[in-house]
Amino acid sequence: MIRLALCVGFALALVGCGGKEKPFFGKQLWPTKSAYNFQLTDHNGQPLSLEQFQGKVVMFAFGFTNCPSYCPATLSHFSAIRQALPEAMRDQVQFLFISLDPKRDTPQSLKEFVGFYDPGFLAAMGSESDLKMATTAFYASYRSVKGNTDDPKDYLIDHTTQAYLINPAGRWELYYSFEQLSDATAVAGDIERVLKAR
Amino acid sequence: MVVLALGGLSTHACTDKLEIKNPWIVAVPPNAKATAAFMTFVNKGTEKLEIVGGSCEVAGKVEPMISTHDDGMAGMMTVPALTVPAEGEAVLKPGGDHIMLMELKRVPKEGETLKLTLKLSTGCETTIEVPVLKKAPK
Repeated sequence: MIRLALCVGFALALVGCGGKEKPFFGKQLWPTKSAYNFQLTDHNGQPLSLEQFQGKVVMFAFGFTNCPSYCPATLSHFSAIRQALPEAMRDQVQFLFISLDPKRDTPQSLKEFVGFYDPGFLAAMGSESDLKMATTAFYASYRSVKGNTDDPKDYLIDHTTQAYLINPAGRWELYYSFEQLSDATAVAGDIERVLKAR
Repeated sequence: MVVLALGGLSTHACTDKLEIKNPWIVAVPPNAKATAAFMTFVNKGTEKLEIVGGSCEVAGKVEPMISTHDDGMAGMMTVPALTVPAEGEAVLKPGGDHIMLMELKRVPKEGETLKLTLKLSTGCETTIEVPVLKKAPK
């Protein structure tokens, strides 16, 4: 019921997007929404909050390093999106991967995971309660699915696969489906437009 | 067993009914425990074909998996077989069905080519050479 209410709220938040300008490629929140300032730990063990990236675009997604399909593809798409940006703009965007797997992921495993795609990407992790607040704030959801063995570490995580774009003012402006992320040029075009609107 | 490699396109015949196009294995980070293989299966026969598993030198287990979408969440599930309909296709792609390479003995390196053997429910086995890539071949 709660999830249904969140979904309905999310859908309503999107109603009315558009305006006179050409629509964004991503799905737009209109009006934009103040983004939840999550408080996590980055892959170097340092505190990470969304607020620290004010002035930049932040693009992030939730996932886990044992994820063999969606998460590698998402980060590969992030890498292609970064490459599709004008060179001068690349440092004005922070790509971020937030682990949903505090039981198995470690700062080191996250560092290796995101570093494989781009040395500038950041990963972050938090407690179960931190993650619950962050995912709820972005209408994301996840759950563990037990594997075939009795090993308590044998599980996968089902999760929503959207990527989120936070504008330089710290407002949640756009989000993308997993499928949309494969169009790096279109997503980079949105980012360029958001950066130019600062 | 015949393997043709034409400008990055690998095609292999198994009992002359199964054609495999554009196979690739996802290059994953050095600490990955699993990766996925994607390709398009083309069934030239008049009966369905079922891919039930396989083997690969770098993996302890090779299993067919499907992507699930439930309550807005994406997940994966091992299935007994991936079905290729008669005279039809099954497209395996990121975010969709795939062949899962689990219990990696070593992580495949981007740019290398691996032999992947796929087993059909008929008992037929086919071995193809699959490039390891970060993203789908164009």
